Amino acid sequence: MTSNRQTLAEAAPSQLREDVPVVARWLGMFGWSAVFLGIGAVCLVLYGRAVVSEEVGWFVALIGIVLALLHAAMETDGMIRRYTAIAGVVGIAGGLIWGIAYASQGKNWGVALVPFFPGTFFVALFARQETDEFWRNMALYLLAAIGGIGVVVGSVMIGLAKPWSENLGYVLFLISSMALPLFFGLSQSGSKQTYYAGLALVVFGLLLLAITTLRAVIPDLMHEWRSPVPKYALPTALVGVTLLVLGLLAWLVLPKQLQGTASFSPEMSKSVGRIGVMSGTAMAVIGIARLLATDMLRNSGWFKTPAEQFLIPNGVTLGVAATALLFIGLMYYSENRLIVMIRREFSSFWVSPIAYLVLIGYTAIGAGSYLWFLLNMIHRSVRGQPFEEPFVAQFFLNFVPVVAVVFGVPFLTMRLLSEERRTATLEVLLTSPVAEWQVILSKFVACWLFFMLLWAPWFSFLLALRLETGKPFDYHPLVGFVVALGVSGANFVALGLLFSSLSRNQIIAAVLTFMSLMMYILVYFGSGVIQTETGWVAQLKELFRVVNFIDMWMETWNGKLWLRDVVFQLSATVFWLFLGVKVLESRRWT
Amino acid sequence: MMIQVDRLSKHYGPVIAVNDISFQVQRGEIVGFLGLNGAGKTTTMRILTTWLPATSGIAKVAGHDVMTDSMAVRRNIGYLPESVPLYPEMRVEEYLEYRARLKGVDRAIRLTRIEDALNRCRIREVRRRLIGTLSKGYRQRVGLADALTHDPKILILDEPTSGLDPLQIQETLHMIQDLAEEHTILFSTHILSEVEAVCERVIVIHSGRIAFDRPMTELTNVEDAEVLAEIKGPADAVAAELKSLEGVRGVKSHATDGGFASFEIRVSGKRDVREAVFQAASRKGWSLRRLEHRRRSLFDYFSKVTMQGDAAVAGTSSRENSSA
Repeated sequence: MTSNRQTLAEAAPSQLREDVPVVARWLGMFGWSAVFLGIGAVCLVLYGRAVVSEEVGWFVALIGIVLALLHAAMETDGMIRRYTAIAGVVGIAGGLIWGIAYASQGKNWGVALVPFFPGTFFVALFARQETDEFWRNMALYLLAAIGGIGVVVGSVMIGLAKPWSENLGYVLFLISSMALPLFFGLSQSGSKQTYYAGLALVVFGLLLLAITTLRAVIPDLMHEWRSPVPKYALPTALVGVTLLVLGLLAWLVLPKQLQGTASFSPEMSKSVGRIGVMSGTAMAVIGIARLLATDMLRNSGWFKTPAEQFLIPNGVTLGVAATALLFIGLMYYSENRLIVMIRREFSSFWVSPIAYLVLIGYTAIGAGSYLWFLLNMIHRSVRGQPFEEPFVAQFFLNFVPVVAVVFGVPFLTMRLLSEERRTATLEVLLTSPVAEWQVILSKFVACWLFFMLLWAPWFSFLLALRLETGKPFDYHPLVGFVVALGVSGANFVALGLLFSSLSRNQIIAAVLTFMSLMMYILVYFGSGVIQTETGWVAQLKELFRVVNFIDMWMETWNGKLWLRDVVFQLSATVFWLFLGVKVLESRRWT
Repeated sequence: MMIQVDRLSKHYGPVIAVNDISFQVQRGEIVGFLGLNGAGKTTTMRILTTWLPATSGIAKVAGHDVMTDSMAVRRNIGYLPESVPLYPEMRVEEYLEYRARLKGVDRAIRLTRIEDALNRCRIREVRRRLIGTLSKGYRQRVGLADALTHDPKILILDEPTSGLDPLQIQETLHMIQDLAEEHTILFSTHILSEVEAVCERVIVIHSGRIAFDRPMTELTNVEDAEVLAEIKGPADAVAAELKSLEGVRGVKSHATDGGFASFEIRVSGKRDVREAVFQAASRKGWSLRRLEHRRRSLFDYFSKVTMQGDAAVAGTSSRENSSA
């Protein structure tokens, strides 16, 4: 019955498009001319016949590359697209040869990454539009190879480098890891290749995380364990062995005896036994290792000198990088419903122009803030004033980040649920086997991750400061600040999500969120205004101090992270999320 | 019993959208859900898909209560809402893959199921297109493909053919017929000929009540048929002659132009009396200029139940209930 029916394919595209991308081709022509002009100018400088300075040459080439990329993105002719892809491959290959040649001569090969980077994007743009399956896959494999090899080599380089040395591993890692989301985003989702690539990334991420952790912990620990055996070692070993034996009994022997008796089920005995075996093994290994360590380490002479610093910054960088890779891999490997939903939400940020605007805005004001901070520092050092640690506090502790949060968060959260309500996709979502809390939690996690990502440029500026000046600064309060930023950000995102769930109008959701965040700031000024020291007014002041996030941020730069503040922000987060779930559930209340 | 609705009501404040309806759908049935705009079709479907709660009454889908066991219901249904909401920023195959994962389709069979849905809905050629750039007809079919990916026992389709061109409507209806071999299908539409073409049963819902619920075979049965004849002759004598024919239950006559009178002959049983009418007329020497077998179409039933006042509807529905 099905076979003899004729299928009628819709031939015409449903959306009208320009037949010939005239503007794009002009852009492309200008772009490529600018690239050649710029590179030509640079070459002239290198051969000592400068017409313009080297910087001008690079700048013109950069503008040209941007124009050429725009052209490649808009080009409709398949043949021309293939030419741009060839240009991309030439860029990648040229960068590779250049880099290897420089590295083998012991020169700084960082400059070879310059053609490498746009080349990757040309290939990605080609893969996005190519209709021929074979060439599309080739481009995707190229992206995967760039990502995979670059990330592995970069991680090794970071791992081996001396702390705070100028390290090309960072650059290589950053540039090549960009190829990975491009590969995953452009591949057919759910296909074998993305599945195995995701799996590989998960394995690599876990491995990297494990190695980094062990490398950060083991040498220090071993050095410490050269001291005499402490009192806890023997009891720990004994308790561990006892637990292990009891656990094995409960796991393997007892269930057979229990067969048929109703009071205590074999399954329960097995699970209790397994917990006993695991904890017993851990305790026994630690205890026995500690007992033997002192003599072994002293006799062998290992770890005599304290371990060289690894955790800061290389360990932390590798840890963050490994977590990010693990995250990307998990998104494409896991079958877990919540992770699948988080992936959709997170990737949907990357197709909305608002998210890019916020990202660019945060980077721009971060750069402006950094410049201001830098000028301030230079001013101080010229006048011979001392720097008070933590002096990077001045980078964060001004009105700029506060304003950035208050204006940025509503833009991120406004469309989360309003959009789904307006277009009724929520109906499709919630008539599939998905619970309300999963919808809320996935949107929250995705948005919070994006929020934290917005601050990445800010922290990379500090990395640049450390690497460029070569002078250490007190980074410890920064850890507290990141935690404070994380928990208060969770609070804001949850609040915005709640407002987004209330209205099908994005603007209303954004304005409500904005007003609530302004309330937090008003409360901060309120706590500053109140001067009374006694009575309920003073208690109000205390309440204001806990509720507002600005005080918490400032405290972190004194090296203090108040547990009550963290608990307040987290419980507020949970409360907003709970309300959000209830709002979604309320449609089913009668 | 795949769908079981028992005295279901839904009130939106003072507005009663669905008023005390009861019906059942058996495994493998294709049921057409008819009604004017605002009659309560979509509301009923939304209750069945667990999107909305009922004010009172019980609805069970695949044996699970929609209120207390909604997750089990959702696992067993494929639902295509009226407006076909889709994410415009996703590609077709990406969307189907995402939805299949949400619905817990196992990885081992997921790609085959998606390919199957793409083939059935004839959207292979747009699999890599962004949904936002698709025409209404393609979107409709992407929504349908989504409803199929997890091979649900029950398909609930809210106007699956709206916005399609005539050829696509034909194809979609054929597909629904194909699907009925393994699935139970409840679909709503405005187009009566669609229902006549594919449905085994029709439920007409009018201002929140079930006005009509019968198998299609009963509708097309000759039992309810009439024969229309226009005969020139003494009206009373003709009527009497026609009444005396075998199987005729009643005759109504009214005069038309040119001395002819038209006679509506109601027949009992499956008998075709046209030949007997002709012979009676020729025997008596009466002229006969029109003789036709009038089958009552779905439109007659539909317009009858929707044009009449609510009282008549209430009467019909109570009769339907008692007969069911």
